[in-house]
Amino acid sequence: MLKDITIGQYFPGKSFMHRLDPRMKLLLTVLYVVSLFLVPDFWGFLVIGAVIALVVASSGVSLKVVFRGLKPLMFIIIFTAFFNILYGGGEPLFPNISWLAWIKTEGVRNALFMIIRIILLIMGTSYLTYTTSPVMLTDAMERIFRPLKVLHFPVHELAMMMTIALRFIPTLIDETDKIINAQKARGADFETGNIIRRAKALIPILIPLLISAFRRAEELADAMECRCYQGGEGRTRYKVYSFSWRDWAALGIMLLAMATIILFMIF
Amino acid sequence: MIKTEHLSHAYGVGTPFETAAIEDVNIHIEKGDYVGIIGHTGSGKSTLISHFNAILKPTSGRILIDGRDLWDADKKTRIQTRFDVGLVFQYPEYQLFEETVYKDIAFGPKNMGLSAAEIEKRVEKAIHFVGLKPSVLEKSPFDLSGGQKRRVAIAGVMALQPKVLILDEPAAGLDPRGRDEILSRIRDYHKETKSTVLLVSHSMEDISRNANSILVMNKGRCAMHASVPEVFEHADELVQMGLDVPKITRVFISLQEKGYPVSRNVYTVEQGKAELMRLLQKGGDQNA
Amino acid sequence: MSKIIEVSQLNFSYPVDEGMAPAHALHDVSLEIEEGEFVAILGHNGCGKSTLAKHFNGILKADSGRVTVLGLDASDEKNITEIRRNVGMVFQNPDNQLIATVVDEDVAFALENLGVPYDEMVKRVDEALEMVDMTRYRHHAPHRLSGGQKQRIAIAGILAMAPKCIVLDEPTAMLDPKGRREVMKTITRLNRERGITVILITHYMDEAVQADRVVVMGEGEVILDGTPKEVFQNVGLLHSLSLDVPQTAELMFALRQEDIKVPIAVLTEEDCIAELEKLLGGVTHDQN
Repeated sequence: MLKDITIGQYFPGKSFMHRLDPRMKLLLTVLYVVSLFLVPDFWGFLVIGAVIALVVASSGVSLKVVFRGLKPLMFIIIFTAFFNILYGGGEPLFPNISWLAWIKTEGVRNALFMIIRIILLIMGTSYLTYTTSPVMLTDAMERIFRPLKVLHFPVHELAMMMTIALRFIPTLIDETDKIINAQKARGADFETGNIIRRAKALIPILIPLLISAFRRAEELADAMECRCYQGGEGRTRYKVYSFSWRDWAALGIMLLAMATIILFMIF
Repeated sequence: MIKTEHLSHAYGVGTPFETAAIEDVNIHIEKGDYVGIIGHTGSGKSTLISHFNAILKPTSGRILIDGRDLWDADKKTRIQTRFDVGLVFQYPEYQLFEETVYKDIAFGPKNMGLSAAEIEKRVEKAIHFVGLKPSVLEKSPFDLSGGQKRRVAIAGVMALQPKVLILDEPAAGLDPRGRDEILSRIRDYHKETKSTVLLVSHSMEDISRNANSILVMNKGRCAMHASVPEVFEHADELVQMGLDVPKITRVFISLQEKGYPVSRNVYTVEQGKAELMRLLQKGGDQNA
Repeated sequence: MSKIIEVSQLNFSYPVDEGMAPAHALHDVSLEIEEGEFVAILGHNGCGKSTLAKHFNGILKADSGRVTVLGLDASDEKNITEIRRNVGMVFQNPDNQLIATVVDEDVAFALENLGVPYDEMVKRVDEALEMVDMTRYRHHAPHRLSGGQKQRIAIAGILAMAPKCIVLDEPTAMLDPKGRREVMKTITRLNRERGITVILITHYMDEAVQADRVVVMGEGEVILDGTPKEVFQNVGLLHSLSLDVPQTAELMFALRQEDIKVPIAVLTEEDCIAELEKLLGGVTHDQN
């Protein structure tokens, strides 16, 4: 089940979406989410639907992927729908069937509205991560939130931590594999017994992993010092982002969609 | 003791990244032998040894331990194989986790379900084999030096009292003192317990000084498997496979090629000296 | 030639827990490194050689004594950046010194820290990658590279700072022979062609003999200091420090113990063959 969750995954590629500036993609995602919550009625979803259709078409990541990612979230979606129906008002939908009297028109309308909203929300944010590598996302966030430094918010430090974490994930996964094999070779059993036994069996893996992570952190700190790391002050960046026609086009389309939705709200 | 029949293993089967790590390996390791396994990185030697204690499952082919097919047996028997075939991975000190050295070495024997008395006996024996004083048993393994940690980790596998002990680069990253110490401990262990030992190493010098026979892996296949002198007969081929032949071997090969009546089979300083002394004495006798 | 690093009467010890033996400490170490030199530092684990190296660029601060780099006092905090920019350091474990997830971004790390403007940065990253012959891999993820390649990226990350000196702390200890050769080739080329001062800490004698100068350390002190030929005269002393000697010198040493007159410090295969030919001159080719 865990491996089915595709939200947050990145699919490397060179599509229009992949080539957008990550800062712009973050901004577009925010605008998208705001628009989605401004949508007053079902007609508004058509506009958002059109936007997401463009995103899917220009991303090179198939819709199937996002639907596969929705499956584990079905429970939340059904749960939301159920409560919307339960507390919804209006006329009963099935006036002749007494035990379905709690299903009312207004409730069903609300439920449908919520389901569509949730699905569109997941789709929009998923396509952000599908087409943007975690490192680029971190980078973009650091740049966008840089002004917060004035308020002593550790923007650079957080971003550096994220970058290093991302860099070391594959290394630590390899290491975990090695430790598991080494303990297996000493007869450790990770597969049988009740939950408590299994949890205990993890100790011989977790302790070496933790110790190794600390050792790596220490060595890394030395290596960073040797390369003149002194925090975010006065740093320049190797990676420069610049907005191209793609970014402006995408922003234009998004703003147009947003304006349309606001018009829907007024009229 | 260990026999493989058409053993092959591929990683990432069914994905576009499928790569064969070892292919059609047929070897037979005799009981009580001390085998050096050599090959450059990616030659499949680590993949090969991970099959011997059922950490990896072959993609095709069979592994026979004492005549029994490893993957024909039920799971319990297979787990039992891990105690018969002890495997010490690279940088084994990173697998230490207990509060005391004693508890860490006892981890394996405990998993075997042995009695407390038997475990104690084995821990003491193991610590003796790796040449550490019994006083370290009550210490935390994390307070020891790098070389000592390594030896504790090796003791943790020796305490299983396996019929076969496999070590993957046990001397990697150690200084000459640490390297010699560990290798001589393994040699003593082999002599005393009469068990089968497999030593994986990049160093032809370490292997030629310790092993009785050599298994050369090249591009996922077993390129040679013979006694140490026989393998050194093919020194040129070893060089072609990108392996480092001891300097002294290369010196004697050059001398022979220059027409001197020396043996090509020299791979330790002692042998080199003996060979030269033999010649000089002979020459001296003639001159006299 | 001017001195790039001057160490005089340096004392240092790590804070130690009660009851533990102090290790890796330094006692009264004095040493001068000339600009453009290739110096190898030898010594067993715990002899203090890595501790000494960490004083060369101010990672550690002396308890007493002086360390001067390019005429700058290393104990003065305001000199630190200038010193680290000029004396770069490469460590043993290639995995633990790469910071970014893409090769060229990692090479740029130091330049970002130094606030180098963008255009200059791009130029220097390109040059550094070229110098270690890794331009092809600039967009790769470091964890997919081999050990030798990772280590070359780490060297490139230092070279990008355009340092006068590189200190390498056992850079080949975790590598296979191929990776070791790659790294050594890179280091010697940087020294010969670019005039970069190289300080190489190592256990491998075949690496040490490539240096202009060998410094041998033991228990926190400098014990020998000279050209490889001078240092490897002292086979007995080196053995007592648990250090290896090149096999060729070892052979000569063994012959001398039989009263055969050969020079000891024979460090290369070619020299060894030449010496043995001289020795075997009396043994004619047609004896067999």
